[in-house]
Amino acid sequence: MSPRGETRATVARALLSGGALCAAASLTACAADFQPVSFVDRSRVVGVRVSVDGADTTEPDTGDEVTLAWGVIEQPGATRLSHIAIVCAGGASTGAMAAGGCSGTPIATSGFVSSPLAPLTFTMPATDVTLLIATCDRGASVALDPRASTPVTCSGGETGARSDLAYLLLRHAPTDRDANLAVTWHADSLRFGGAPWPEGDDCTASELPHVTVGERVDAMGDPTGEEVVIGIVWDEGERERYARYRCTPTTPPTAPEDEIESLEVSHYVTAGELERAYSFIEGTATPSPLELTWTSPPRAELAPGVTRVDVFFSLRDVDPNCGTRGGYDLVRRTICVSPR
Amino acid sequence: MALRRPLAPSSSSSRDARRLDVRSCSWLLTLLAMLFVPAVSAAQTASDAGVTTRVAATPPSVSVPPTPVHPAGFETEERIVGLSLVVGVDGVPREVTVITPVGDGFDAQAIAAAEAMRFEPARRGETPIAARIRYDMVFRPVAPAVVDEPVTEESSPDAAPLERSIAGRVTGADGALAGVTLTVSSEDGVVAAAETDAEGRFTVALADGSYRVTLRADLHRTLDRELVVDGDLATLAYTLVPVDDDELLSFSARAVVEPPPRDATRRTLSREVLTRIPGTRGDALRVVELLPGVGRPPFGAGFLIVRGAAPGDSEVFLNGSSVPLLYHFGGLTSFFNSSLLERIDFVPGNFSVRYGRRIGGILEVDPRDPRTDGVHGYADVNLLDASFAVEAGINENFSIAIAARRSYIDFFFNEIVPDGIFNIVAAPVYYDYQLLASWRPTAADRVRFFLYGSSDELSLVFGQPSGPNPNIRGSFGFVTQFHRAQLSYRHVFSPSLEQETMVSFGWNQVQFGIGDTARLELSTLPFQARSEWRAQLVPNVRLIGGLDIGAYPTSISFRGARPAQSEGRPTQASQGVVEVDQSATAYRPAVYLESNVTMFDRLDAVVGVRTDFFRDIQRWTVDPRMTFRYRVMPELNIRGGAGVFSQAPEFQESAPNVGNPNLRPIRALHFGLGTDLRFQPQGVSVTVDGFYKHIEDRVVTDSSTGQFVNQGLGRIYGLEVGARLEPGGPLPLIGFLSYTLMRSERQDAPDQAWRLFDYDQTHIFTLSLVWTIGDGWEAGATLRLVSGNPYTPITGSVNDLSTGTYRPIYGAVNSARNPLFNRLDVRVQKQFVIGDFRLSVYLDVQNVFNSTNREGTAYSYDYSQTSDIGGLPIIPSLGLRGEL
Repeated sequence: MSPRGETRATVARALLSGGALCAAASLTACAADFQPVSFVDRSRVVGVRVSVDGADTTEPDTGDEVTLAWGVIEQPGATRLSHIAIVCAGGASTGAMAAGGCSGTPIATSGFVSSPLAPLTFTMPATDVTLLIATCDRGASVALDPRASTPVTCSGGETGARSDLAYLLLRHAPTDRDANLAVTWHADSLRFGGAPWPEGDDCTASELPHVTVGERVDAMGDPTGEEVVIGIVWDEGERERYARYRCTPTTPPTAPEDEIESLEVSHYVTAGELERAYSFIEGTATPSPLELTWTSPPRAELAPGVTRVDVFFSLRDVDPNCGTRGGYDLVRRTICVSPR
Repeated sequence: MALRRPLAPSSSSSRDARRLDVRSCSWLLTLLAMLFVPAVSAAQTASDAGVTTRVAATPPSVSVPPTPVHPAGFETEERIVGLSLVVGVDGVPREVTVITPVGDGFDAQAIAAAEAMRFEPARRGETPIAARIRYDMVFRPVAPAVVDEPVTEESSPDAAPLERSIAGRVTGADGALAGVTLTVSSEDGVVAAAETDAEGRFTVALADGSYRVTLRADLHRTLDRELVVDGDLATLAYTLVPVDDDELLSFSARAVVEPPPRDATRRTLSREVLTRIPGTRGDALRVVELLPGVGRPPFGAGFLIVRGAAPGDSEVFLNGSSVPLLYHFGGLTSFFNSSLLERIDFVPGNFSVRYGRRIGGILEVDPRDPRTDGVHGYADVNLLDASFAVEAGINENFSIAIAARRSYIDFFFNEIVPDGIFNIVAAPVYYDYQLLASWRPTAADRVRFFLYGSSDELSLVFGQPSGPNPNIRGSFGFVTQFHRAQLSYRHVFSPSLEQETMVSFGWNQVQFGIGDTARLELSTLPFQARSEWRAQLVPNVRLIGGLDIGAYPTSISFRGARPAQSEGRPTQASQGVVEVDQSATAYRPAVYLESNVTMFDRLDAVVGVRTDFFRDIQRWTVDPRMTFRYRVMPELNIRGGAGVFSQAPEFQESAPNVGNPNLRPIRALHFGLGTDLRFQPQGVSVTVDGFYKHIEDRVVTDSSTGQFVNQGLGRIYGLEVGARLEPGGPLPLIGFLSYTLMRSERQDAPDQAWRLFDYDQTHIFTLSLVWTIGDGWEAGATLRLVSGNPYTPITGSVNDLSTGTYRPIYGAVNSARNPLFNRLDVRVQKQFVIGDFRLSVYLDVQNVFNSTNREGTAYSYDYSQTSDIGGLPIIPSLGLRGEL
């Protein structure tokens, strides 16, 4: 979504949350010109893929060997991301700053500077586990104190280094139903301008999409970029069917319902603007094909030397009623740009 | 020239009252069987106890009649201004307020004339007592002055014709009638007027021509006669016929002997004042938020924050029946048509045992009876909505009014919302309607049927997630509506015994949805009934007993985050999603008994007790309360009160599967002490009130289990100062000033520190003035200065990798505060009078200086950047209102 669109959405939310219809009259007053979440303004972790050795599930059982692979978005050629990761036994039902929930003995830790971040492996205990990861970009060193008012601090590195703190509650395999299966991007799931969009970041390769940026202006006379439609394709057979119970157990228990999982796609771009930050593939048998418009940066705003734009696609399986199910995958695609 | 009206009911009217009483009771017995049976039993009990031996009360009567003076330029107009006033024990009228305004300066003149009147006070036996009465101040047309100018034979054809001196005499049943007002009218209007002398004689000067002579006298039927002047006339002779007792009753002012207030602090506002306050767009109910002790909701959200209590702790009653909301969207407009309003009573605390199940304040909205004198109405069109009201008297005893309003924001909403956000926009729309029928079969009976409702609806549909939150997708919207049918019956058995019964039934619906994140569908069929008996046992003891029943069959369908405590907890704990589909009926019966004792002619003490049963949580409560009022001198009162108040937990807090069914009611102790000071000649009154409230068993979320528990405490204390400039003072101004200094704190667990309440507002200042300029012009301004609401700062954020979205890390709860809120509203109105039709053009501008007034904070996706969310911008409202 464009910054302008983000602003509109913010206003719309204000309208709803404030409950004040007349706030419609204050549209501009409420506007906040923030960078959209779909823009890669820095290197950061946006997801984590859980792999269980010997199984295609996201909910490991006791004793399973679990590997966590970080989903990182970053500008091309960005300085490496430093991190500290801790995995603790025990869930953190009260959420985010369940950093306190990580008060037990860590069962796995990692801390180093690398890009991409190396996977973290541990053995699943008999309980849920909480994962906490702190990062600093621009080559800064990271320090983590979960109980401090500012849990993450960065030191050294380049000017403007920013910290980030992320967590994940990893559910133990259930005993009363089947464990959730992992989700994975397919090679032909993404299209650019109607054509298949292969992996790779070498802009000398002819199969990657190329966009020539000219001198277009919009209706207001402002420079604008080229618009290209990105397609996201998914079939019914590629989504998991599962038995959905009430999100919270009730008394007496309710019967399960047959569901097709929904898919949530988060997209991020290193240059230009995406029409929106998220796309949603409904849990219906024949979901509508998704289309997403990317607008290239106008020629005047094309940074010197930029010949490549990366687009990241995060994929999560979700239950629309009860939230995420645990599956995650991230892929990157590249657009090659050149001034006309 | 005012028509003097005796206030004492005639004997025949009393007979009629008794006769019709039996007839009306017979059908009401059937209709109101459930409530009336115990009521009849209670009546029998009262009689057995010797009530019939009590001393009867006598209403006040006029000793010095009024001499109203027409406003300049309106001397030929006939107007009637309805007044309410209290006749003190000294016979001096006080608290004169206009209840049926006519504008053009007549209202102020009516008040001035009333204040110059003197009465024989009401009496209980031989003891003078204060009484509130209604009085119609009648302005009769004044004849233009006759200028005696010499007339010559050479005068031009346009010169005034020769006038003849015509004499006459008026007699009545007992001979000559003095003080008869005689007006002579031609096609051009009133041409002459006179008043008969002690012998019933009068003289007028008239030119040749045809005229209509009208004669009016107290206690006599008005007489209209044709008169042709053509040459010299013999002496005219007229005879006026006395009115029958029944007619006399219909023309009489209604005198109601009002007891002292049952509450320690009761702020009453009349419609005349309410509809003229700037910034309200003429909406009477919106004035409530400007009163002392009333907080300012954020975004003009329109809910009531009374003395630091949560919005749900206070209740609004319309004609005695609880209604779920007061305002449409954003508090712009109330749900009730102001033209049908008689008055508003606001009790910020220490309210009578008549009301219960709330620990905050009470707002009583009292509609008036529709007019019986012909057809009247108005239509109002402004930028946001259009409304109308029509009222008519079917006969002298039965009248009906219909009113409705609908917004048309939906017509242009799509134009102001930027493209690309919403795939579908339906509404927003609000509407309300009222149908009120009032029947007074006798002077002792009143039956009211009231049908009303209100609806607000807004819905949006997002095709794909919008903004930084992936859950913002799907359908969004809310629907709040309620409808009520209400029947009330009041019967005065005697001046010292009356009964009032009300039953209402309706439908409340709330629908709320945030895409897949949350969905709520709540439907309630509330049944409410109240029957109250008021008996004056002896001259200084009044006893009131009542039955207050509520039954609320409710069905709810909810899916969303597990509800947490509704206040003081910004952190949305991730305790999973809950889904609830269930139905239940909450029965809430209550009985109350209250005694009002007057001691030493100066001290009124009200002692009462109320017991409630909350069937949904299987709990009883017993709430004793008392108030007192001491008249230090006629201009100075001291009053106070203390009491216990109980309130059931919210539905979601005690519902099985979601909440904790073992919760206890929330309890509060109210203490108040205040004083009233009135400077009658200046039309100024001042009130000062101090209060302290202690709340225990507040429902909070246990931080370790996530369960609702009765562990919270609250304490609220403050000082309120109010001053009013009443209509009719020496200045052409009305207005009021209010200031509240307050602190409202909560403790969420025994081991936690006290914190500020979500809507704690240390300073609340309001100054409102309305200036009657003259010639139909009126202008006013309202200034509000209010401390910003507390908020919980966000000190950081954490990325939830399961969703890819950031969650805020909060600092100490309510440890920061928004800046001072300031707003100036102005209103200018010009009224044109064309015969009986009045046309008003008004401009009401809210937030003239377009102050930003930060109400909240917008955050970037990771909470690293912030931006202020301002309150309502400048909102001009240009309107046109025609009134007949």
